[in-house]
Amino acid sequence: MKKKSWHLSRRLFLGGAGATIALPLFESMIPTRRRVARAATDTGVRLAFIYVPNGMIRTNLMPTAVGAGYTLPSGLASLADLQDDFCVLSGIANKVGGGSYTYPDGTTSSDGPGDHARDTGTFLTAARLKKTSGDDIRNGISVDQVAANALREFTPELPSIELATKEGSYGGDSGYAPIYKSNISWASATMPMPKATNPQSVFDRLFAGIDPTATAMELERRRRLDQSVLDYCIEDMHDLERRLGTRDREKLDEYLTSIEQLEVRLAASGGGASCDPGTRPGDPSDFRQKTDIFYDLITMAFQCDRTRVASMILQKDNSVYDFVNVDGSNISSAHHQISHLDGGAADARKIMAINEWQMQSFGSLLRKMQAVTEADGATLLDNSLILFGGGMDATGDRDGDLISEASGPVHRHTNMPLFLGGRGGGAVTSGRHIEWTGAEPVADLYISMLAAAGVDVDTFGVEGTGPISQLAG
Amino acid sequence: METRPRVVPPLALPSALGLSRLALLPWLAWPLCLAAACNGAIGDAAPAGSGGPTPIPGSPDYCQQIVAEPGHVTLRRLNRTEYNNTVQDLLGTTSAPADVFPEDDESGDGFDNNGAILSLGDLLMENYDAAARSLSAEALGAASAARGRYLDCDAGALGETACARDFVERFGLRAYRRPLDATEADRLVALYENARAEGESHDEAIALTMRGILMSPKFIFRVEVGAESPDVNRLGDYELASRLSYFLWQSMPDEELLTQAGAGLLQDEEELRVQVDRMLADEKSDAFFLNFAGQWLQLRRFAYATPNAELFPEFDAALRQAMTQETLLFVRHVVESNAPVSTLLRADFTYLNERLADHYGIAGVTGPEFRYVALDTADRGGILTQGSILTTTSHPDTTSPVRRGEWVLDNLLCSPPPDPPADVDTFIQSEENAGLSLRAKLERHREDPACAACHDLMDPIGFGMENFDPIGRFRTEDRDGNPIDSSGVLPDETSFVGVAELSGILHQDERYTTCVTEKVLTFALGRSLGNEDRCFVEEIVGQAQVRDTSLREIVTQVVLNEVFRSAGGREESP
Repeated sequence: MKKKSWHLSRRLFLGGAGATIALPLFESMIPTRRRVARAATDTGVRLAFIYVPNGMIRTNLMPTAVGAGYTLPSGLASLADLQDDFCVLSGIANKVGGGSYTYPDGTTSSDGPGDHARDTGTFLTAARLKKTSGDDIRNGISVDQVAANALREFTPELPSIELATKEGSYGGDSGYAPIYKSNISWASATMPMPKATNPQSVFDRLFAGIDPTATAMELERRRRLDQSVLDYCIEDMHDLERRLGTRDREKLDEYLTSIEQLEVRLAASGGGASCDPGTRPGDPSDFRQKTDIFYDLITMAFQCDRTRVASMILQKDNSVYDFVNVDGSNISSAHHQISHLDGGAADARKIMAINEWQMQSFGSLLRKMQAVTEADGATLLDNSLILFGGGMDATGDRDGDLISEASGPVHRHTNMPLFLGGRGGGAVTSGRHIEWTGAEPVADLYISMLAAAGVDVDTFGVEGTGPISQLAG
Repeated sequence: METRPRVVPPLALPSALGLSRLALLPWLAWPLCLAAACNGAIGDAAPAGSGGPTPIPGSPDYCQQIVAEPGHVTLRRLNRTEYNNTVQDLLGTTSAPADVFPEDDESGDGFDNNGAILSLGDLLMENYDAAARSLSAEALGAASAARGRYLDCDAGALGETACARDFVERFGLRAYRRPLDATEADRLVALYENARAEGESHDEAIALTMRGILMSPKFIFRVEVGAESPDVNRLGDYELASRLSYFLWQSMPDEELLTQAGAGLLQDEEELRVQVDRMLADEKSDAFFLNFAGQWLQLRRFAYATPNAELFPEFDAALRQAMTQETLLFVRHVVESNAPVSTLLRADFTYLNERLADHYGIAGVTGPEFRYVALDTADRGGILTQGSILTTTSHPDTTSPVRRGEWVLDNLLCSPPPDPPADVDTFIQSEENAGLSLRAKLERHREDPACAACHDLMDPIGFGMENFDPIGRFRTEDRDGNPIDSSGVLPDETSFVGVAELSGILHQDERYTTCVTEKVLTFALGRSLGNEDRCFVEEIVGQAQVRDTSLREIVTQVVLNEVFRSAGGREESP
């Protein structure tokens, strides 16, 4: 079977046959990757984004002083040994998460309730969600996928990984389809990245190598056979392309894109022989164990340069943190229910205890990455940026009073609880509490994180217009 | 498309909830809600090209003013359930490779088979590759079912290439759910021959060919290009066979459907009726109940409901499983017995095992197996009294009349209440309400006119279900000792006491049958319904009313309707 030049055919496909296919957002905003002289030991900057639902109560998480050498607040006590290795970020907002918002072009949205859908859906996209419970969904591309598109040349087999500790419905929210609340990573306006929830599958995807007993000639023969299968599929696809309409062809484009990626994977020589990923993990039902394994996998994936971009949903909004002790008993209610603080101070204590556990979890990931020394002598953590947190300030505070109010004190999309681990290869001076005034757009933070990884974009999301200030110190 | 006579259902009783047919566009009837929640959807998607005043979707004579066009279903990949069922029917395997695929999203009006939502990504393609490798290896095993079905050709007598072609044609027909054309067959034989030239054995080359088929978009997607002629809008015979089988079995067509399609018989209405009855009688229709009813009635969400473990220690996995089973068996019975669709709301029977009967306080049921149980009390009977739905619509600690009312409006009447206005406090457990009963808290809440406009619709329905606690047990007092008051007054002043009277009112609401039909049609098509689809829904309801308005007849009329049998225009604008 002859080899098809289907990289070319893809382009024809997108533009051909009279189809006026609306280019997905990412086609029109492919970032430029800076080509800078790199030392042989330059390992590149790795990016990870870890999301917690329902926001966080910032009271015990925010230092009173700004800058370096601040006194650790009680909620960050578990991070004492890491204080020099992360930043506390204050004053960052994602205004498109709010129910009503005036856009830069002057248009105003009044999308009403649905703060949880917007919290999750816009966390990494900073775009407006189309409010629909039907199939006409619309978001924007997420920052991790912009990074993955630009950095894929380094890890072509696996441009990014997307993880979640829980499967199952994340539920809809006030007229928003469930898909928004279930996904932080979006390849395009209409396509979230599928999430992996099984650590064993993730391990296999990262590290399943080649057959060490096969000769190079035999491996080459198998590659040709694999390619013949893919070529067959592409030809079958072209049969359909000629007979189907515009929206169907968008689906075929998804098919072709993923077939292309599979070709890259099958053609690559397999896992890093220079990197020992250890033994295949289990798939524990215990959420804490599973989280720990996922952190190991992210660390190893970065260490072995299997991918440079990761995102993870730490937990669902209605999970029960029955391992967290508050006031002498373990939490038995669902996180979302208590996050509204209907039960006043008692609920606030539970949420703060959950937040403390989340910060311990952040610390455990940073320590794993700190323990890895890279070729340039720096730690893996030094060469990474780990954004940890959520989209809502759930403090419930108004003039000192605890107030439970949807769309208000417990669901503010300003003053987001965000923590930035690592130094990004020197782009970030860590060890500080950085404060912005005037609701600094989170989209600008994303532009800076991309820049640290060598990915230059001029704009991002609705509000991102350039790098955020202060990160370098 | 030709104009054709439309069957308009007789206008039923004015709705007891005070809403007319306009409720198809619910906020029109709710002026008080309008200011707060209408997002400008009215007038969207007005049909172009018609002279005179533009027909307004949702207006009473809308469907008389337009000629509704069946929409196109976006190329739809198999979801996890469909993939597993399909490879099991295709290959006789018991493996379920899609269990490790990424989860399918239920966006798209509540069902996980929506073509526009189901997307493909790198991870899923890797999963397809791994599944195709293991399935083809298993199929070539010495004693596999697939070998007997597709590989009994005598290569010694006929030659290996002839046997490869025989395999390609027989396996391809089932995998692509239609006969292959000559080009396709040749392409697969070439794939086989290439593998042979690369040194693969006959069996290895067949396995590789099978991999190609299982990875092809023609297997992974449900392709609907329409009949060649005379009417391109009509589905082809084999495409219709697939619509039927994925609707009622969530799997590929069986031999009989393929045979009937090949003979052109599926375009015949009587034959379609025969096939629907046959398919519902087949145990493969378990998939319909599990996936249609399971998603419509939100049993999947129930799987993740989290009653407070300290308050409800008896709520364990076995009880959850039993409640799910009750609802599935109940819905199945309603379909199989040709009972009126209203039976879902009001029934004098259910399905129980000992555990669930004990939980409900019903005596005389022993053993773990489920059985039909006649109910001799008005307190139970119908889905509004089933633990699955009662638990799903509760908070972990308390019942929620609001959520229960909203659930009924959304899922049984397809008239979801609008969102609360932005920036209002929707939480009622503030300190000034401490000590009040839930009803009293909600009544205080409704003193605010902005809240009352919509809560007057939701809360009374939920009050009618207050005799059931957050895990579905019957009660006459709440946890604080307040007596339960299950009376309610609907917006049209109709009053009732308890769930039996409430169900009686709901099942006479004309929106109910229409709503069930909308849900069935959405699932059957795998796409969201648009304004024009409401006209097909009207037509289906009208036809079903000519017979007995059983759930089975609604399913049948969906299959017989033009909207189900059409491929739709291909260049529908996004």
